[in-house]
Amino acid sequence: MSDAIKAVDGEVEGGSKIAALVKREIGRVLALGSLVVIFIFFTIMRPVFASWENVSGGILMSTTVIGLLAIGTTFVIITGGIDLSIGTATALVAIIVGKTVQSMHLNVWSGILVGLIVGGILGVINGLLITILKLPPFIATLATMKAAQGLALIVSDMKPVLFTTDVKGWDSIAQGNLIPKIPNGVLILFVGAIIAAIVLNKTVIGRYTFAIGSNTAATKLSGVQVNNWLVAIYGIGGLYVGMAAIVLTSRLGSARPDLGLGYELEAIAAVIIGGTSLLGGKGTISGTIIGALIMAVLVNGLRILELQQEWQYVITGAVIVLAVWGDNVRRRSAGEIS
Amino acid sequence: MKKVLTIVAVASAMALVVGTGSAVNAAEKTLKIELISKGETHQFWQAVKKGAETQAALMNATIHFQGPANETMIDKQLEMLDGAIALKPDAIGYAALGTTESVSHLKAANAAGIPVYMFDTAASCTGGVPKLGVSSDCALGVAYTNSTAAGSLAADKLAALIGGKGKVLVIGHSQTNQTGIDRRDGFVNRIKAKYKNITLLPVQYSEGGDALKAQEITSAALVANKDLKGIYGTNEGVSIGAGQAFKAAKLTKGKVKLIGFDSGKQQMANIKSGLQSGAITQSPMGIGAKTVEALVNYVRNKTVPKNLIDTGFYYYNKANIADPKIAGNLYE
Repeated sequence: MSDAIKAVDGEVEGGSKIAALVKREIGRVLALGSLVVIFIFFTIMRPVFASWENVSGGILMSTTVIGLLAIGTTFVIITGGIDLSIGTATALVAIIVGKTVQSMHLNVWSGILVGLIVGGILGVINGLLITILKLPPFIATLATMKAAQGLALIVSDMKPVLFTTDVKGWDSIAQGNLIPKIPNGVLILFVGAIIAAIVLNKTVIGRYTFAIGSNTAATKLSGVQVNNWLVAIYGIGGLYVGMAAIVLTSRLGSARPDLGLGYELEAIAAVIIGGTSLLGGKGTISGTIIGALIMAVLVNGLRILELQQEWQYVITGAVIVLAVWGDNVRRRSAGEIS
Repeated sequence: MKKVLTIVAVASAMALVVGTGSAVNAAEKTLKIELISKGETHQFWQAVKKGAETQAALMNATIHFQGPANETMIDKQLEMLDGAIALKPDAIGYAALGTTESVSHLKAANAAGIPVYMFDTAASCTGGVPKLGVSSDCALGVAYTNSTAAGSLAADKLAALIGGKGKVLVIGHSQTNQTGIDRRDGFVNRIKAKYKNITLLPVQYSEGGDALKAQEITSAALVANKDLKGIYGTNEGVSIGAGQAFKAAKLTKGKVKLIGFDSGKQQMANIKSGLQSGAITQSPMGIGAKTVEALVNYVRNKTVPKNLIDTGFYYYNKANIADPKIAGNLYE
């Protein structure tokens, strides 16, 4: 097994580990650079943009749901897969948590556990559809996206579930302040990111995530149970869907069956802006967080400038093009892609 | 304003009398009516459905009610409309998402000899800007809430709450659907015409009424405008999102006045607690009932319905939320 891992490592990082590391760092520094440039631009235009009130309550808080979804889906995208179901699955998990907490009078911690379990199960179902039924990830998760949307409506009986007032402390999950001035939702996002980065870089499942994305066939040949690992990786994606759903209900004070559609695209955009390749094999959690922050800073900044909404959409689109194009130019010059 | 409410009340009362007038005749065949709504999720549409079902049961008809997952899915809704036409029902009720896009589909229904009555929002078959009541060549008429007048009522109420001056933000739930446009324009035009000391910030949109996006828009607006006096949200999701942003920013209740639209458990709780000042409610059950009634009477008795049936609206707040006239139209 350890030979297999070594072989896989060689696959990912090529001949020189140091050269690969440098390349990767440059990518992140550049992405961080664009984030800083956008941030400074808005601060000059409206200084109130940089106030802590806006940075924490506006920008960082807005990043929580999409950011958590993006972290989980980074794993999936690195394997060369995609998960379109994360948006509507968030709504489904939120509704199931709401209904369960309400009917079983659960406390906050049990409610959170239910969310993680349900989210994980949904992720595993995606993994099974892809590995056992051999459906392409795009189709498998498109199907679960639709099914989750329908089930959220069915389980909720088309009504928002207002359960948070019954549970002491649910509001504090995202809106409390364990650390003064920093909303707990933001804390969850960063702790979630750190855990994900450790799993991705320091554990066997992380290594296999890269290996499968770089070369599935070679990974299989080296004796790795690719299918089992894929199911587990989609399960990780599901766990983050569970976290996102819990933060969402805490922020809104309810679970709404009509939310979530379209969040998958925002999350995937954050991952790609953060430098993860849609083709698989490459990606970082810190990049994803930077990608999610770029989107959040942009959307929040344009709102602070009180620009007409039509133009907000156009500019957001243009910045996505610029961000990903800039990254491509850098990689091309670094010889990463042809 | 009292006058408007009186007219609305009288109209509703008359509607109630007419609505219960027709008895079930066992010899008649049960009419099948397809209702294509703008959505199923929001409880508003559930109330429309309930009103339609209740009326259908009274008049020996059955309804099949469906709508897309959210109010931006025009294509999905048109597919449902085509599917309904293919079933050859006795009549179709249609709430237009695509006020111009649906024209050819409606003409197909006409060609198949299926009578159509619109509810909530009419499509324009006369070309140009969709206008209520001029859609007679593809539908018999429309049962609707006068959303423009409802938006104007919200403007008057919000202006009174903030003493007729200060900054106000409008958060819309759609830039394209007619109800969303009317609710926005009714508000905006009234403010511009009557309240010179109120400054309107550029309208922001939380597409589809996404509560989370509305929350984020409100948070940004509170940062950008320390002197913001009022917010008007054009649907339930938007109103709830704005209220949650107040909570997150730990604003003193009532510092920024919020007027929303429709009801729902959370919004009603916010109004009772003082987080939100009030909201405009339509009469969703009335919309469903009037549509079914117009269609059944037309098919069975050849009674041509009025091409505009206004089903009414009310402003409610903490003080009158339990008033039977109001409470009957609110839903959890």
